[in-house]
Amino acid sequence: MSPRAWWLRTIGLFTGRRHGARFDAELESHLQLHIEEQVARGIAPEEARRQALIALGGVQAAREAYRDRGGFPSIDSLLQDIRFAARMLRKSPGFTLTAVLILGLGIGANTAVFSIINAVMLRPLNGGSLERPLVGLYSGDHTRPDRYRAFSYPEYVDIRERSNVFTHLIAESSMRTGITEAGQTRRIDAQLVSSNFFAAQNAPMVAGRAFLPREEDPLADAAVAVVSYAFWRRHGLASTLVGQPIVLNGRQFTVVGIAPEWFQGTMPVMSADVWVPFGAARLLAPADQRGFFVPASMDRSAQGLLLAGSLQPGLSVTDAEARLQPLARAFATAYPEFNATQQLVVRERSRTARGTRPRTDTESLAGAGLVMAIASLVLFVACLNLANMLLARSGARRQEIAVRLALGCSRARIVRQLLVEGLMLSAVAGAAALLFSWLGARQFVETMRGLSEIAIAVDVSPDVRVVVVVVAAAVVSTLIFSLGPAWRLSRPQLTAAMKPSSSLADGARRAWLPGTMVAAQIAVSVTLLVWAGAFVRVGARAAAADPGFPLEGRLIAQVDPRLVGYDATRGRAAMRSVLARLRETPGVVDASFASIVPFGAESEGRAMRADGSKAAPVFSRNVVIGSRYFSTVGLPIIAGRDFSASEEVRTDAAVAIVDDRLANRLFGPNTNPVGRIVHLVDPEGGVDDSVQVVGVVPSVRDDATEGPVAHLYVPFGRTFRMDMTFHVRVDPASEARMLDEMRQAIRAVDDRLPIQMLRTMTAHRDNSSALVWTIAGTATFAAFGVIGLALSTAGVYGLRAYLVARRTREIGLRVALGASRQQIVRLLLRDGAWIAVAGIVAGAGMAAALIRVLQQSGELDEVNGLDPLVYGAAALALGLTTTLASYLPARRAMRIDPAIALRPE
Amino acid sequence: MGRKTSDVWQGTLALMVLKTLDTMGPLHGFGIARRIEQTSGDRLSVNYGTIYPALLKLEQEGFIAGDWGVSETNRKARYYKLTRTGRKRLENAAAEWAEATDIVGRFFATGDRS
Repeated sequence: MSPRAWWLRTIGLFTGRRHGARFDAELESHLQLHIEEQVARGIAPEEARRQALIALGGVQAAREAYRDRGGFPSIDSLLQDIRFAARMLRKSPGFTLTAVLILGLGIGANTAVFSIINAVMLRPLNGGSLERPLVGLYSGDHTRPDRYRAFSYPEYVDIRERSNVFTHLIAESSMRTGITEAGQTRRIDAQLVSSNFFAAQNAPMVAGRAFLPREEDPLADAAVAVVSYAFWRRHGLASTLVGQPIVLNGRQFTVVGIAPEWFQGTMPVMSADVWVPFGAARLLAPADQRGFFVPASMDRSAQGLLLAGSLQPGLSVTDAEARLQPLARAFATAYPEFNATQQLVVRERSRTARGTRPRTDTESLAGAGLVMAIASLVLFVACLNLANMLLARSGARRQEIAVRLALGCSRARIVRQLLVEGLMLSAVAGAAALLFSWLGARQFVETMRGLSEIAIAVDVSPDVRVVVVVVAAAVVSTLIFSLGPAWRLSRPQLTAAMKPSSSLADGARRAWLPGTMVAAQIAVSVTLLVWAGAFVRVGARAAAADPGFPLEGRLIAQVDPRLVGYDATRGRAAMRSVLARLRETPGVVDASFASIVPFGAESEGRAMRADGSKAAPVFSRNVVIGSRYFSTVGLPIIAGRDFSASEEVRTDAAVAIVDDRLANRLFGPNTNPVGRIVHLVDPEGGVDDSVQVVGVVPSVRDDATEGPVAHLYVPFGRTFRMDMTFHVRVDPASEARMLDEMRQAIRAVDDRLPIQMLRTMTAHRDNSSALVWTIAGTATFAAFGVIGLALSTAGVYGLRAYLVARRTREIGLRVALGASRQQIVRLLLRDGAWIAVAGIVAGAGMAAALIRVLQQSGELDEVNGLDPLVYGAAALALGLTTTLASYLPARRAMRIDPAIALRPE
Repeated sequence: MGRKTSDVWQGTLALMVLKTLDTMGPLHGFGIARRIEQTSGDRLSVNYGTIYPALLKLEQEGFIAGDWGVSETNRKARYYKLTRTGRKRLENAAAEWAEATDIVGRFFATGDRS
């Protein structure tokens, strides 16, 4: 066929009707001309017409042949199916709407979950600016397999210059920074990066320039910064932003470049606003703070950089690692103090975690897979529902189908047509699902963003992968809910179907398939509810967990003078002034401060050893506190004493307070640790500092979902921290008012001090991210559970209504024979009860088995797999809903009038 | 009696249509069918089902063009005429047909061995 013919035929698909009419006219004229010719020969007009019709052959056949040539016959019949399906769906809007809603909900849930998974785990970073993502370079230890550390700047430069493995090797770190805009200071994490950071990721600046190599020198004092596109957008996309100053940690920096809109940095989920070169590190550090860690300096002992690079083309990860071994050995010889046992490790980077050690995403993927599996279960239930609905509804179409079969339509054709109907439903539902899921996923991300302390940027807009998932879900759903009913309906039992009413015996026999499907739905719903219930228990336990100290009447305020550029001296003075002022404020029972606050996102650990002990170092949390911390927070002193006011100030007080957990681990149980010496050690075991234990307190939990951990408390005088959280104890009734008083007190001391957080301890606990994640997970499972329950209830109702309708004659007969209404109801309920019981038992078994499997794989430790309360609640919920759903149709059956029911059709 | 339609038959029918239009000028479907029957000495009978698919195919391939007109008896009918492409096709087809007949003819010629 020539291209011209192809083209005309394709157009013919759409203009078929118009051409058909034209062709009819042509045929008619042909006929008339023939008749005229015959009449001219002398034959009578009617005879002429009759002969003409015979001679010219079947008009219908001609039309068919014409149509077959005019378009593509197979596509033509498909289009016909589609038009027919659309008409059938339009005819019953109630059913169509319900079906679209149910299916849309099921597909939408799956798509929403997948969108988030796609955004976090699958989407190429930075829109795919790099063909091959960066791999991570890690500093391991070949004597200890699990020990990793960050790199120092001189190390990074050495590797970059001497290795033959990377086309680009970048280094990054971050520093907590205060950015002051319009008099307000807020906290961000400025990203410290090497000068090739943007070039290595194919990210050209949209304005200005990236960093110069000389700005990377840690001694350069380069007060320059690159800002993100979002930052630029917040400043109105002003063309003059490049060259303008921004204030970081109280110092003036100059904006030299603006990153592209799609650039997110090296992590898929976190967003960065400000990048600075290594040469800015010194400027951002507070002056004269002893022991403050600057991640980039010329000192090889300052190890704070994370490295990543793009491998040379064709080089595999294992080959790259092998090629770096000679370099590691050279380092070991040249710098035995730092690199004696160093092993350079190259690994693919994780998408969800970033740190000094290589991580894989298997755990995250497993968790994601779990959630998707649950969402798929919900979709499955929805499909079963639809299948039942279709079966019930199509009872009426039996006659139509029987007639079509009798007229010679093939069974495959009928099945195809029913499938097309199903596909149309799925298509509409899929489009709706795409919309629902996009909105839902966006809302979820927004909520998480509001609650998270780190800046999150996740793009959950649908891309090709998401659309593919929607289409796949729609197609699979269609097959599940359409194929079965279609196959059944097209079975050629012509005579039975063509008879107007079904026989009495049919009711019981035919109902096994819908009944099984409903039982399956109930089983899946029970599983979902059991899971939801188990997680709800975990969440409730976490929320109600006693942290070990009272929460009422406690207020906290987080202040970091470093963010406005205070050096150590000024910062220390400012913090002490604020504390003094707070202690004097009327309404304050007691006040103190601490470097770490429970339920926060940060923690600090320390290794230590008891004096005289040969055992391995013990790790515990390390908290710098002021005096009267424990009385403010509400913890009793079990033994010894609290820190004194002078120890809060003096730099030479080598004392510490331990909690009972730490005392146990350092000195053994039932030993009084007061007076004993503890050595604080570095990772190699060398002693950093030695302190004497002066007091013991009870241990507390720092996290809503974890147990209590060991803590070591050291006084503020000796170990200075810039960013401390003030704790204030007030009368619980005055919490709201005292929050305001706190703010004013801090402002009164120094109004430049940025207050990052000011809230009650209770609010802080409620907002802690661990709790939030647990609640989010619980809410998701609960939502799925409820959706599953709603779907299966609808399914039960639909089935019962259908069955009652089919058994109308039988019921009418029974009533006429003297059965009471109650007996009828009981009869119907009894049949339904078996299905419900079977489903509940099966579901409970499935749930228990699945939880057992997950527990063995270590995924769900806190979840109790056999909690009787949860199983009981799930069984009760389903029992109640199924009974109710069965009862309503049964009640309608009660009102069946035998005279009407027994009337012949 | 019409013979069963086959691809070869359809191809020759198409040629007959083109030749008819070439000889007779623009003609309507009925006229073409009638003319073919006459030319074949009434050994072929052409009905709706054969002529119209052929006309449609020729029109799709661009060898003929159809337009509404009025017949001698003042009846509205669709007239077809040969296009330039169609004329060229006819010339080529005539040559091909002559060659085909010649070759096949050799097989059926009795007595000659060359």
